[in-house]
Amino acid sequence: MGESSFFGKIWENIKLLWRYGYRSPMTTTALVKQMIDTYLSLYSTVTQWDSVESVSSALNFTDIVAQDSATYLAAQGVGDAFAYEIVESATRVNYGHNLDKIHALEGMCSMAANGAKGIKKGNYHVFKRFLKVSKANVHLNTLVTALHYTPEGRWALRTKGDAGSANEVTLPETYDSVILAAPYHTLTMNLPPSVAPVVPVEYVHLHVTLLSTTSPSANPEYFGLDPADTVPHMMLTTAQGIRAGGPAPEFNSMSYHGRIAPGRDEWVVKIFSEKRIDDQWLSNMFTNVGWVHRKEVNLFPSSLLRDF
Amino acid sequence: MDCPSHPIVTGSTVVYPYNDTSLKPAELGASIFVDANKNLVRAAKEFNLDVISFEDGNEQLGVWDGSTILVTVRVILYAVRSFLTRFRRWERVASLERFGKILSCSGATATDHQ
Repeated sequence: MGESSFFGKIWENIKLLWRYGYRSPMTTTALVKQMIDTYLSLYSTVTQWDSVESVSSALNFTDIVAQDSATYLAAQGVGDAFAYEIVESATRVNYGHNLDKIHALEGMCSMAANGAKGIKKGNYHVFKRFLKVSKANVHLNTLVTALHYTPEGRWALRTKGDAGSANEVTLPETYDSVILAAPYHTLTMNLPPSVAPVVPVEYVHLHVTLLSTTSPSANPEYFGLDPADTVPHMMLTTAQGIRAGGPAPEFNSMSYHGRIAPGRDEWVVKIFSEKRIDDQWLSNMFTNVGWVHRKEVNLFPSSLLRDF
Repeated sequence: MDCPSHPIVTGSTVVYPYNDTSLKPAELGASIFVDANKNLVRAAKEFNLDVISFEDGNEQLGVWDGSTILVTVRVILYAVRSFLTRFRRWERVASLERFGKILSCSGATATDHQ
């Protein structure tokens, strides 16, 4: 049946209803909405907090960050099929985590894709403009070696490499506040003892493979489909196969991200995986591979359960 | 790495196919933001940055378990939402009928704010 036709859409809805029932998707949607509404209150709140723990507590998130998404959804009456196939595919693509290893707040966030968008020329333009508009002085390629608190009660920074300088120097400016915007355990700078140490957080290590291909679809045979079939352009994954003793999916997600240029029959594909995706794997999956770019990233903290 | 982007936010970096900046950039990390990210939405608007929506895609989505494609749908949230909206409407009609009320088509539309 033509999937794009009116009847195709109805057929699709019936298929989904048959597989997941009515209650599970409804309940999940309601839980996501409730989480979003709470989260949105942050934008209109003027209260200040001293810690992540107190924000979490003020938003009543303490319970949902203390339990995993699988337990939470089951307790709310969401069936296993919907939880482990749909919600888990979202937690795996968004945060590289299975449903039973991600807390319920992040699990619900994974499903909050209303109004998904991106900046055409790259999302980094937003941050670039933030810097420009704020008129901040940006010191690139500068290592902060030490932070200390001056007798006047201000922060001073010792740096290396600022403006090409090879020597370690104390910057002439002092500051009211300093934000350490890096994973705490990766910091190599000397901090005064008054800075309370942060408990080290593990990061999810992922491989990102970006490639271009003239194949309009991934290899259908890899997915056990008929050679004439088209593979969905966005392939997400679940750990249900692993739980049943089957092989693990070799990637977390694999998506076509549009043509590399308008009117050109060559597409960009992005793959997230736990292991390196090699050239041979790629040429089996996409007959014609053009450009390949690999990067290993620690994109997000391991979302172990939090006791706050 | 040859990267023309600003190295300020490492989670937000683009690369160009074949390092050709005339081609469409591809996000390496964080590729989307959503309506609930109000500051980003507002920044994009105030800075006049061109935004691409990933919502109206008519693309298929599949869920793979390592051996089988368990389910295939058109972008799942869209699909889930559209069937939920439809069923919610049915539910409302059904419950109103139970109370013996007559529902006109225009009334149904007017009360549906989904």
